[in-house]
Amino acid sequence: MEKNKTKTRSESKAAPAKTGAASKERTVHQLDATDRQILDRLKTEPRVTNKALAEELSLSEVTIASRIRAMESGKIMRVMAQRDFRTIGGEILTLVDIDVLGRTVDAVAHDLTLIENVGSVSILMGEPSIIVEIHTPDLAALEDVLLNQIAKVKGVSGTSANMILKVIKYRSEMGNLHL
Amino acid sequence: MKLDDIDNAILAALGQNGRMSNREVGRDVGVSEGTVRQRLKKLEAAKAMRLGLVVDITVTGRVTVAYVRIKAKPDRIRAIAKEIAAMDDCSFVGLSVGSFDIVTLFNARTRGELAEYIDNRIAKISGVLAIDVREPIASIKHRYDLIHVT
Repeated sequence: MEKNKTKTRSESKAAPAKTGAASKERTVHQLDATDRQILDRLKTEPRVTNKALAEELSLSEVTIASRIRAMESGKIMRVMAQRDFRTIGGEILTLVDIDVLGRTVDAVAHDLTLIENVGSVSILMGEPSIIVEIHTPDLAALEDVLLNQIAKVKGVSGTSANMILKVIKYRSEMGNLHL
Repeated sequence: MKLDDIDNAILAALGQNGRMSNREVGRDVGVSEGTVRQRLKKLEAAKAMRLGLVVDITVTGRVTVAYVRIKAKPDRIRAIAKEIAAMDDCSFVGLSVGSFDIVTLFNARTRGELAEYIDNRIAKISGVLAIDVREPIASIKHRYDLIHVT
């Protein structure tokens, strides 16, 4: 994660403030039929061996390994253990709308990414300027993040929180791997 | 669920590369292959983690993202949330306290497809009182290594 954070930081420094958001727009990757077959198989059995995959798709193990490596290094996909927030003391999920005044939205958003309990930061056009997701173990920690941390970021002029009582659906098989 | 040092070490190894075999993980962590297998079984059963494929949103083509937030008749909130969760383009649904009763996130292929969900499906669900749509133009932090296992 640390490596990714550094990358985001240097990118936003290099780009002019106004195009910071636009520079993150991306094109849709084109994968061939073999890549798609491998992805389909990994979706149902993420830890299937290269040997089994090679036999099923009538390819060599070397081909399978290099295809997977290329998709991993191209940030197209990753097979990984994803932990539940509750195992690291993140029982309470809260979404916070943030209004910004007197400072660029990009600069405020960057400062918000540095708060440990902040799991995601999205920049919007119009109001609110930013929506963040925060994860806290309890109400006291939520109060601290809202009133001591987010409220003290320069440029934050207003906040409005929606605390999630119950998560009904959380899709975890998709993500922005380029951050 | 309380995780111990061995659980955490196994998750750290598989967080880096989920395709490592149990034997390789065991060698890294200093436990047997069997221990790794048992621990993973226990962790998955307790919904403490998920071992899976994460595909970048550009590959799925679902690049149009929107928070769709809903105010609803109190006695209809659960049913509406369930109905929206069943929609294919919907990535997240939570029951909420604050300005809205239900908070959802959509990942659609196009804005037209997103509009179709909002105007022709969500707006027509009985008990939906108001819909607030917010479209992020950039995501600058997203912890895909941490999730809610539902």
